[in-house]
Amino acid sequence: MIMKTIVNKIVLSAATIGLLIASCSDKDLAVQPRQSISSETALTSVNSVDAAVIGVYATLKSRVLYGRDFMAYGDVMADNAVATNKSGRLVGEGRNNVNAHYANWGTAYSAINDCNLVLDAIPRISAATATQRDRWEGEMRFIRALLYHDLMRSYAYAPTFIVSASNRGGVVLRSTAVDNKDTAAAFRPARATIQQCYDFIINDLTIASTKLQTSARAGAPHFATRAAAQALLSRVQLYNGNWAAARDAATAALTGGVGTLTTAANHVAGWRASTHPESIFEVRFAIAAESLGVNEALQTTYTSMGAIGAPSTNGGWGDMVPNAVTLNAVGITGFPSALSIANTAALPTLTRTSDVRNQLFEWGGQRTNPRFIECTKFFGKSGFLNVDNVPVIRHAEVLLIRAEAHYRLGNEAAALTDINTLRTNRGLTAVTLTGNDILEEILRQRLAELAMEGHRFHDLKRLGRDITKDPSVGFTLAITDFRVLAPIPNGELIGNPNMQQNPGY
Amino acid sequence: MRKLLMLLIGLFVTVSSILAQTRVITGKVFDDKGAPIANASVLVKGTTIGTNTKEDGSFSLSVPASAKELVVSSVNFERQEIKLSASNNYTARLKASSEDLEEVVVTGYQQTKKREVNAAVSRIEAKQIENIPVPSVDRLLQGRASGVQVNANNGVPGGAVNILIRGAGSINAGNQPLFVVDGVQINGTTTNIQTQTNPIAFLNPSDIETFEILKDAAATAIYGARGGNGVVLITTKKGKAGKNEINFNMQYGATQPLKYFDILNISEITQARIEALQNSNPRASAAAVRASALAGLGIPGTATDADIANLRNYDWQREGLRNGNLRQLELSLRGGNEKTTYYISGSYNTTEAIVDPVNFSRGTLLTSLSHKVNRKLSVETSLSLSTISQNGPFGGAGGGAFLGNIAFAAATILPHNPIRNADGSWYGLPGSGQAVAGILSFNPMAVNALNTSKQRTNQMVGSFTINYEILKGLRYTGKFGLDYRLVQTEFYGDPRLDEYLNRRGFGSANSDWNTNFLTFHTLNYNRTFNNKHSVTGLAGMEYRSDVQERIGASAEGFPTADFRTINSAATPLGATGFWTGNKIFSLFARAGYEYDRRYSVTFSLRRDGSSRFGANNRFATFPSVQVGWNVTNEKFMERTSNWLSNMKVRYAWGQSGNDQIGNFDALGLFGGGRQYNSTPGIFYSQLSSPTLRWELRTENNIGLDLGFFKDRITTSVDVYRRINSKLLLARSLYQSTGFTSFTDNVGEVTNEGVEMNLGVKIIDKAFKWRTNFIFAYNKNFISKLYDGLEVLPGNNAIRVGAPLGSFFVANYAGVNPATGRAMWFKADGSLTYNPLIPADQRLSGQTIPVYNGGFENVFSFKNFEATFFFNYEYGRTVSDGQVNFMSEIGGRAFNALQEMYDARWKTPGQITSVPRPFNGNTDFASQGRFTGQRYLFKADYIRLRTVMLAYNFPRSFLSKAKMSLARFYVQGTNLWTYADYPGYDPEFVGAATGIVPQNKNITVGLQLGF
Repeated sequence: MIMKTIVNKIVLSAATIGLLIASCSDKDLAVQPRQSISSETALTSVNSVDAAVIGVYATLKSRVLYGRDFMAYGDVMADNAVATNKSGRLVGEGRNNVNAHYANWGTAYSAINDCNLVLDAIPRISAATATQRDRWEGEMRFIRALLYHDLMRSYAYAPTFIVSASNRGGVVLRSTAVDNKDTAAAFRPARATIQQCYDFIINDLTIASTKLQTSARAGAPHFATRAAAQALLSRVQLYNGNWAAARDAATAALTGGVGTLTTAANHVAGWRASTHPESIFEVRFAIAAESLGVNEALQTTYTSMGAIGAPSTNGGWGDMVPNAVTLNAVGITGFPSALSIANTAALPTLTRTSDVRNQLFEWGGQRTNPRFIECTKFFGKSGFLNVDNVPVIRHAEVLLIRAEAHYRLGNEAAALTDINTLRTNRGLTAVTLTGNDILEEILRQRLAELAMEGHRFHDLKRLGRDITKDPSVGFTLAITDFRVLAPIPNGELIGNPNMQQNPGY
Repeated sequence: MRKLLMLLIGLFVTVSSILAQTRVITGKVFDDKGAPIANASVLVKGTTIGTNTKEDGSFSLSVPASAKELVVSSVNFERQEIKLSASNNYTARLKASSEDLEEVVVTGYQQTKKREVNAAVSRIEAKQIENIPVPSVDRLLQGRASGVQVNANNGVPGGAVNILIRGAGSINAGNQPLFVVDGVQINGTTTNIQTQTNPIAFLNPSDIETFEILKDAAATAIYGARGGNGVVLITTKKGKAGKNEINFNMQYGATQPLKYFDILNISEITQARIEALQNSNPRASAAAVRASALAGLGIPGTATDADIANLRNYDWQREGLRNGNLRQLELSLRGGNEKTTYYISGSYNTTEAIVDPVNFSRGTLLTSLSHKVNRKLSVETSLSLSTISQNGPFGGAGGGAFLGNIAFAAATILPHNPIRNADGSWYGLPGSGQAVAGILSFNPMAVNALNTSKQRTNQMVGSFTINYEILKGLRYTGKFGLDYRLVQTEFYGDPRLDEYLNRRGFGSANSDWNTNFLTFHTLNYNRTFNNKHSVTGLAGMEYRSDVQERIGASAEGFPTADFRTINSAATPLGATGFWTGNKIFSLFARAGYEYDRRYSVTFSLRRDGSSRFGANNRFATFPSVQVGWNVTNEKFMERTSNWLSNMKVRYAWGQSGNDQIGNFDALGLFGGGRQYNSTPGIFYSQLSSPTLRWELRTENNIGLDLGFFKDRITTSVDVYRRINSKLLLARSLYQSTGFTSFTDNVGEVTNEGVEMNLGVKIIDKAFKWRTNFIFAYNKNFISKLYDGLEVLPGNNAIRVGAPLGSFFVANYAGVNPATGRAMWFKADGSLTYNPLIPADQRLSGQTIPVYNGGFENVFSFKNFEATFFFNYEYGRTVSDGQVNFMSEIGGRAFNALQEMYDARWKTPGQITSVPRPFNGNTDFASQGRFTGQRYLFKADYIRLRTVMLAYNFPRSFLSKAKMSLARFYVQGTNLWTYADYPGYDPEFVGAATGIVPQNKNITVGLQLGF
């Protein structure tokens, strides 16, 4: 009898559990994630919008943006740097191989959409103050403009030099956010004209300058400011050939109160500081976890020694080094014509001019024979191996932009003043030049000042000058060659009659 | 290890002592026609004292004086009790049980008579896979069941295995089958942090009684949304009433590399580098090129050719790829009485991969108990505990940072680099002043020896089951199961090595939990009326919840290399965390009817609700129907019965689903994890897809089973057409939307195929020769995408008409004899150095084989047995990263394959397929030398998968030694392969750069039964 009761109890309890489960409803089946939040409620509070803004800044650290490519490619694809083939990285770019090019399309558009999501959300956040709204809008327009200009630099010609036969326009302009799958699936991108794109970027920067006038958050140059917007605007107008606008924006940026020009005495120290004193906008890499790692960070890309001034120690790969063009521009001679020397051989003594910028170049480490002269602008400045802040735009560049604008406007005296301001702050003497010699001096200063910061390729491209590759690569890339423009990702073209690929791909 | 052994010995002693005896009863057991019954159980009632009958039906049993009754039972016979009197000799005649004398098959939630199963189900029995030392049992399926294709991803013991049942049906969702162990669905998640894991590596292969593989949708429909890729049902050994059986098995052997590459010496490498540098810079002087080449190879610039030829070449391959030990030890006990039965087994296995320090060691304990409470109620419990510890290769789970993996580095490092110094220390450590030359600029042997990559898996799979017979034929079963897994990983980057020197060491630790709870409750009905109408029914409900959690931390800056846990580090670097989960609730039913053992029909229906799917589409229904006609049992077949012993025609149709996507793929999400200026940020990580639902598999299967000459020849043929529609596809978006894809139900994949088994007893006398041939053909193609697209944007290889896993690349046209440059074909057939993407690309092979199968031969003569088992694959193409690296011949400072070096282009006019060496590997204004078809290889192979030679000690010896079994065997795995493949192993899945290759092994073993 007792046995039977136990039996009944067991069966009854099991069956009850079964019934409880049977009553399981649709609601019980909902499982919510814990490290993500629903997109429906994500951008409805001040805190979450602010977090989304931070999320956009964070994308600038991507390898294909300012993590590496927008620093390294502009030199290795040009005439002033070579890939050493130590790890094999950047070799294709160094030879301007087909498809070895900038690939910022997807990452940039993802970030642009994140900007647009915030811009669309701002009017809905009633709890935000006017200052917060201005700040968000200014920041998002600034970053959107930066991303768009970099897309233009990769995939399209600049207005100052267009190869008409190869011109397929600018890039895809989007000013509103994609926030659901139906809009996303229905979208068929098409390329706007080059001028439409430049107008869009200039409009963003103009509004950003206004919005950030008083609202910018603390932490410059790591966050957007009015000065940063003006500095970027001067660069964009230089590419756009609007010299007067470039000049005026440059002046506004130089007097905007963010950063100062370094002097001959502190220029090298400026490159050793975590935050570059000249930076008007700089992408911050704060902690070790943000490193792009031992293969792709800028430190490992540019250098192979373990410590500055210690070529016997081992560090990164040193995949990309300056060639004679850069070294001569900064005033270094005495290196072998092959640029390298075996680990076992004695290091040739380098002859240096008074230009302080050449102190940022020295014989590299012995990891993976042979040694090259390497650039030490990025050397774990944030306090961790392979973690460096990346200056996006700094005083010296803006000064040179203004010099070039003055020159184009026929104001040679003002151009010379700007050039000589830079020269004397770099340990050089002032020069007196006229005519085309001024332009050549500006370009030489850009080469020396901005080496390994990703400008040379774009300078040659916007000026329509052929790229005379290093003798070890052994050819000249005509600026009309199709390889000057990057290929639009193939996926953008499939099933999309609106989109045009750049020629040759 | 020692503790486990003690435990096993302890168990052994305890059970032996039970065998105390007082009197000996002998006898014979016959069936009602007078034929002896072998293996019948004879048991003293109310005890576990018992024995099994021999071939001639005889038994001999020592019983205590107190014994009153014997219970005699055998499968398919009614039980009989014999009262003991003074006599010591008894004869039992067992009546055939009223149930059919039929083999039963586990078909999911119930057992079904094999005769009534009309869907495609394969069965593998313990006997077929006995004593093959594999760390995870899924490898045993290779070539043994038609239509089941198994690839070892790599040679990491206990690593992941790729299984496809009847081809791949899904583009983006998973294609791996569901594993169910004794009714408990196993969570298929693999946690590959420091090395690879395998969710069913917790099972000791010797504990398995059968595998049943449900292949078509009609068979898997009862598993609904989880059954779409096929289901593998594993039944472990259970106790049985009768005498205590003790089985002891030990095995010892060695693993060995499958192959070594034929590589260059330093003179040849120097020559290749000189050619590469000169070709890439024709204007440079020969002297400058030589200087540059020698500098890159770490050779003094003054060295002459003779000096270089005199450099010592070290054999890194034979130093790095070792012979590993393989040991297996098992002890199992099984027995019971008519009320309680048990099976207890313990095992310990260690397998060392051929790459030091990669290894696997596992201890398992399986306890299975069954108890009849009364006539109606019985309870069962099964508990499997296992602990696995693995040392992984440097560079993560068999891939990743391949440069440090010995499998990669041993063949590619420059051979004039010494391995060790004269004092035995590693050559080339930082601070030694010694530099390792070449791109592999560190000592890979030291890297693997000094770094630590560890992973420990503790897994418990257990269940508790209640059976209650409500009425005759109607039974309630309730099961509660748990699959719990904790994977702990640990990595330490040693500060004595270059990579970690400047960080003063790096450490990380992770813990990853999987908790998978399952319960189902079923009513099962099974009766035969008038010996003609057989009725079966099943109704049930099931609930399963799966949760996976992870935490991890990393740090750098260790005082010395002796401090190896992260608490001693100076700088914490990061903490990670992770949580995901899903729930599924289901109702299911099945009804079957068979008339007169001739015509049968079964219907099944399952309704699943899954948290993975969109709020608008949570529930799904999966029906199936199967019909069969046992032609043999027709009256008119009596005429042919002298040669046609069996004939059955089957047809099945069914639907099942695939839910193998991320747990939250239907939701629109903002993710975290981004940070800027030490402030956390969020971003739109995923677009919502509220109508997302399961992928639907619909399948028709026609089968024919034949037996000839009293089943001396048996064959079974299945023809199927499987269509996976509403694919869970990551639908590409134009990236300018800001997103790359969202998950949608679009597209369709078709698999069509034929499967065949042929078993022949070629010789069946004293010398026996039995052979079994398995063959499967599967044609796989994408039959539809969406929006009328022929190609999936973003992936040119996903196109209508193309098989999954296709390569879509430019066709290689060989080398221009005038210049030595690699050429490809353009779309119009002309030659180019720069094939366009995608205009000049063509389909060029697929990674999933078209044909595969196995071929088994079993010979026996008296006490000797020999088994030779082959498996084969045909129609598979793969790319092999390691071979690519080794085909650079001087493009970078790596070693290369001799055959590539010998065939390279050297002089104008030379006809060859290997282009000239070129520094950086990409010739002037060309695509890279490995573009397109040039990096693809045919991976067809036939492999002698296992050889087993065994000697069974004769009966006379056994009875003297009081043993029931003594067997000595020699086993070999992967001993011979026929393939035209340049890499380590044609079975590789993936890029094959720095993956630990599979090995061969030879073991000897001894199996004893008491």
